[in-house]
Amino acid sequence: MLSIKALQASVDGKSILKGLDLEVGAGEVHAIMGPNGSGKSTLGNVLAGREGYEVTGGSVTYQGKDLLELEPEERACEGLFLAFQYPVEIPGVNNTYFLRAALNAQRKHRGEPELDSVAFLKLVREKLKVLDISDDLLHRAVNEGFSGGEKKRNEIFQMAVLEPQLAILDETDSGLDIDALKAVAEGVNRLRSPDRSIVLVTHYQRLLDYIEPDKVHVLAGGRIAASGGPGLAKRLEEEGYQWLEDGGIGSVDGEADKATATA
Amino acid sequence: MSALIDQVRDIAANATAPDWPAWATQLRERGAQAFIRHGLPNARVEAWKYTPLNRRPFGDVVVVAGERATDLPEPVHGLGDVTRLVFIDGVLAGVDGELPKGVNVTALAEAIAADASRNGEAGELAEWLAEPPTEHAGDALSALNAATLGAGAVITVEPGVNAGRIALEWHATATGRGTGDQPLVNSRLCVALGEGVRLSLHECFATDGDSYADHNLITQVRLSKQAQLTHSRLQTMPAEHMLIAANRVDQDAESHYQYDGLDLGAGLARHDLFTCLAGEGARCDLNGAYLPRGEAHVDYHLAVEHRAEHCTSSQFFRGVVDDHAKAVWNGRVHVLPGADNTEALQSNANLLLSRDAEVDTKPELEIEADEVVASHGATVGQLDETAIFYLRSRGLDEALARELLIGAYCQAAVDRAGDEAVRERLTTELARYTGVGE
Repeated sequence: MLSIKALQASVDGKSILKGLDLEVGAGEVHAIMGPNGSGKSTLGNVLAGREGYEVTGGSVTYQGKDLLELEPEERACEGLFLAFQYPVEIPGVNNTYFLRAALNAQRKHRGEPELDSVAFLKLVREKLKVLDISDDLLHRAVNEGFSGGEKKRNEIFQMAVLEPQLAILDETDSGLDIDALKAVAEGVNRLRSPDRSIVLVTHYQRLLDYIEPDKVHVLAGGRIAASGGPGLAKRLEEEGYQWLEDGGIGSVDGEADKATATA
Repeated sequence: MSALIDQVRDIAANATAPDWPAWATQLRERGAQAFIRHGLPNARVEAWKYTPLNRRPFGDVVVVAGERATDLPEPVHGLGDVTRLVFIDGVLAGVDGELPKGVNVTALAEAIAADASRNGEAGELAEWLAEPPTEHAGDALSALNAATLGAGAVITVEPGVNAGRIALEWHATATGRGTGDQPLVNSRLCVALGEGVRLSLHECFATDGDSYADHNLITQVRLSKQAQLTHSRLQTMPAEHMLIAANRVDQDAESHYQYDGLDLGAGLARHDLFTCLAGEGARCDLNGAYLPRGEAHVDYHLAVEHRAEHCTSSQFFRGVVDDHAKAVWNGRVHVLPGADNTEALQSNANLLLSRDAEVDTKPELEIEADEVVASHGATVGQLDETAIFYLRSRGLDEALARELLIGAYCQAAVDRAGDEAVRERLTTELARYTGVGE
C-alpha cells in the first residue's frame, strides 16, 4: 500500500525528516508515536502534499505510484486522506456542498458517475447514523464555530464518506476529552477494513487503548527509531520517550512485540 | 470629451419642450451649464479621485423622444412571477404584469408635463428633482443627468400598502456592441413610499443580445414613517459597459432602507449611496459584494447622515479583486449634533488576488453628537492558503478550491440580503460567476 524509503524533508530550510523508512500493508493499522518535534506532523503533511514541506531525498510509493509526483488533489483522488491536526474553518462554505464536491471530484477521477444531491444525501445520512453524528453538521459551514471534538468528528465523518484506501490521522486525539476521544476512536474502528490502511500519528498512548494498532513505530530525530507491536506503546507510556535517547532501544524486546530497532 | 460638451451645449439650447413647465426647462439648462463648467471629473476632484472619468471614452448622449415600445423584451430578473418595470434606453417602456393596488408608476416625462397644468408653478416634484442626489453638490455626472432630464419614472405607493416585490429592468436598443463608442443613457427614478409601506425593488440589467449602452442613473427615494424599502441591484453588465448610479434616500422616523448590491460585471461601475436618517429611529443597512476581474473597476461611495436620535446604520461590503481590476470603497458616516443614541457600523473587507489588482478603501467617521456607538473596519488580505490546501486534500482541484473560497467570502454580504427571493437570485448569480455552480 505505502512504501516510504529513506525519506528526507525540510521546512523553511530546516531538516526535519532524516531518512525515514516505513512499510504499511493493505488493511493494516500503524501507529506512529514520538515526542514533540520529532517530525510526526511533517510526515503527514509531506504525504498529503502540503506546500512548504520540501522533500530533499528518498521516495514514497503508494499503490505502485510515485506519490510525491502527485498534486494534493490527485493524492486525494487516488484514495489518500489526511485527517488534520487542526481542521480548517471555512466560513461560507457549506459542509454538505463541500463534501459532495470532494466526493464527486474523486468519483470523476475514478471514472464513476457523479452523485446527484438526492443520492448524496442518502449516503451521507447513512454515514452519520453509523458514526452517531447529528445531522445539523450538514447545514453548517465547514468547521466554522465547531468545538475541538466536533472538528475531529467531522474529519472522521469526511473520511467515512470519502472511503479512502489510506488514511493518515494526524494527532486526531489531541485536545479531546475522554468522551470525544472514545467517539472518534469508535468511528475509526468502524472504518477498519481489509482494504483500508490507517496510519495514526499520535503523541499519547491513550488513543491506542481504543484503537489497537497492528504495528507501533517510534519516530525520533526524523527517523523511525523503533518498531514493534502494541506493547511498545505501553512501554512508551510508562517510561516516556526519554529512554529512547538513553539508548534503551535494545531493551525493547518484549516477546509478543518483537520490537526491533531500525535506526 | 469636448464632443460631449458640444452635445450637452446643443441639448441645453433645445432644452425647451413644448408641454413642459418652466421649472423643468430651467433644471435642464442649469444641469447643462454646470456640466459644461465642470466637465467630466478628473483625479483632482476628491469624490472621483480613484475613478477619474475624463480619460474614458464617452459615446453620444441618448436623447429619447419618450415613446413606449409595443413589444417588451424578455424578462431578465430571474425572480419568477413578479411585476416588472421595463426601461429601454432609460425610458419607461412599459409595466409588465399587474401593479398592486396603491402602487402608481408614471413615466417621468408625463409626471413633469402633468406638473405644468398647475400654471407652471414649481410643485413638489420640481423641488424633489432639484435636490442634489449625492453628498457633493455640483457633481458633474448628476449635472449631466439633469441636463437631459426626462427619461425615468416616478413610483409612489400609498400609505399602508404591502407592495411586495417589483423588478426593475434596464434594457438598451443600440446595436454594434463592442465598437467602443457606446451611447450614454441618462435616467432618473423617484420613489416615494407612504407611511408603513413595504416594498422590495430589484434592479437588474439586460446582458445578452447585441444591445448595449452606458447608464448614468439617479434614484431618489423618500420613505415616510415606518416605510420599508429593500432595494437590490444586480449588476452583470458586459465588460465594455459603464454604470454610474447615484442613490439618495431620505428617511422619516422608524423607516428602514436596505441596499443589497452585487457587482459582477461592467468595465466601470460607480455607486453613490447617500442616505439621510432624518426621523427618529430610522435605520439603513447598506450591503454589497463586488468581484471585478480583468480590467474592471468598481467604486462604492457611501455617505450616511445621522440627523436624528436613535438611528441605526450599517455598511457591510465584501470585495474580491483579481487581474488588473481595481476597487474603491469610501464609506462615510456623519453624525450631526443632536443625533444622540446613534449606532453606526462599518465593515469593508477585501481580497486582493493579483499583484496588479488594487483596492483603495477608506472608512470615514465624523461624530458631532454624544452617546454614539460606532465601529469601523477595513481590511485587505489574500486567500487563506491553509484553507486552499484543506479543500485540495479532499480532492477539489486548486481552481475550484479558490473559487469556492472567493464565493464564500462574498456570500457573507449576499446572505444579508433582505428579500429572500433576491438573496437566492444573488446567490445563484454569484455561484455562476465563480464557476462553482449550484
